[in-house]
Amino acid sequence: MRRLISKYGIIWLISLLFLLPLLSGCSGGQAQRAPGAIDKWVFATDHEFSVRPDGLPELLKLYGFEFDEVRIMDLGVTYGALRDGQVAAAMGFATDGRIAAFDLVNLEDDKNFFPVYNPAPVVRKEILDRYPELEEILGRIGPLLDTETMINLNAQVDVENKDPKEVARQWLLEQGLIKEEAPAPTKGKIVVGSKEFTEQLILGAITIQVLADAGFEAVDSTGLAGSEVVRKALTSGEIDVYWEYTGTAWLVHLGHDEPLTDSEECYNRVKEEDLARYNLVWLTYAPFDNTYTIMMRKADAEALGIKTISDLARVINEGRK
Amino acid sequence: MFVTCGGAAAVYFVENPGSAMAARVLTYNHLAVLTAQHVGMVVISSLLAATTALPLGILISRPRLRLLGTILENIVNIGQTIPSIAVIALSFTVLGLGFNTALFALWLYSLLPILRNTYAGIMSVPPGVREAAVGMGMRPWRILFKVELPLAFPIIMAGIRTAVVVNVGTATLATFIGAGGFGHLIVTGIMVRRLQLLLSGCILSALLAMLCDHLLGMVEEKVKASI
Repeated sequence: MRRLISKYGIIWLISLLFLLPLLSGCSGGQAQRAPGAIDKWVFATDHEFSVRPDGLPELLKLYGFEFDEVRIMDLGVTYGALRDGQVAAAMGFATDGRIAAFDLVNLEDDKNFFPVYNPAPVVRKEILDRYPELEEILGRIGPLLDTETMINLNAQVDVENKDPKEVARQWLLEQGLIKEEAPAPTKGKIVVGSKEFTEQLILGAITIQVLADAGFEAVDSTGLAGSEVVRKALTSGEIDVYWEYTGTAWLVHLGHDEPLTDSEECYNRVKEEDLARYNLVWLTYAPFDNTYTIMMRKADAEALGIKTISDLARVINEGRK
Repeated sequence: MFVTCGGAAAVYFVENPGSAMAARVLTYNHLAVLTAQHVGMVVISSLLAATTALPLGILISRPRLRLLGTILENIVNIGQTIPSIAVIALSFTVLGLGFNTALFALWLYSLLPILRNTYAGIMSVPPGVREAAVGMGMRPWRILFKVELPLAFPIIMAGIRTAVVVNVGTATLATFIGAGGFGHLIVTGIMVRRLQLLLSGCILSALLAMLCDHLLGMVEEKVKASI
């Protein structure tokens, strides 16, 4: 009898060990459903968007609707969650390469809710004073980057799994901004930072290679986690330059509560205030606008006839009645 | 006391959010939801881990399975070197978003200390004591429950306490995969640079960790007194 118990005990225990993950796996699986058959409007967002004044709360107020559930997760996860049908709609960034790759669509912001987020290289004043040529060297990159170019560069990394450095190099060579071989460094050291997502890594790589081409010793400190960390690194002098978005600086770093919706105005006001308060210089900004976007699966959006955020609001509100 | 402190901290942060952005997150309702999520994750995963790891630890300490025990202990030791965020991320790639995934990851991560301490605790029982029990004519099951487990109890409890406290901390990472918890406050606080958010998340999870440790300490004392 004792033997029986201990024998079956082992089997029982081992099966329990394997059963538990299976049990939790069943409920976490992917939803399979027909396009447009959405019975619960779950929205995926990252932490920042869920609380920003130009984020979700005000968006819902302006368009006049509510999601059934808002799930807060890491930024990179929202696209995949949407593709797998775990959520019905998600926030993302308008220039992300995964939007095309995952068969998602950006819903048009027909009430012009989202403010502008044009990126520009931000340099510490002391560095620029030491190397005034930086203004020209880094300033000529921005104007060449329009939205289409940036989606294309992002897609090469996110979809084709290319290395951001290689993508940056190819683009710079095409544009004739760098030579095949970088010269040996003759000038001083410049530390380049970036945030951790693809676009920032590409912008960081572009900056590093342009600097190296101009004879600087460019130190790679890209891939820092989040706006706040990179900004701290810049103001404390750990890095010398990184690409920041005008809207982010205005709202997060300079602490304003009212977002701005005009590119030129936002850039000028941020430039002025950042120089006065933090001794940081904003160089020429890029025309592409990496603003937030609301995305749906293409199949769902087409089945429900949703093209704009207003359409989405109408469909959700009608479903409630 | 910890509950009072936590309540006071919660009230303080809700009443003094410091900014409009923080105020949006710091409401009583939302804090209650986050607390429920966090406590839920920790309690359920720890209970599951204890119910799995304890029997398993006892199992591998049986003389006939000693070899298996050594192997398993080594696997467990290697497993513990994987960072907790990687465990959560890996579970996410397999199981998808949400509470259940976080539960699974936390369960997996807290199995290890409990298993290891159960095994070590039972192995630390002096052979002489075990032989004496055999000499008294005790059956293996009786030896296990009357001799080995009581003697190993403090070590096993230490493992459970470690696991639970670590779990409270690890559960703050679950917010990355949409499972909520106090990590939501911390990550949002970092993202939008609002100290109140960051602090509220840190303080609440620290207090929760202390509370759990304290409660388990009380349980330990009670059980010790009864055996």
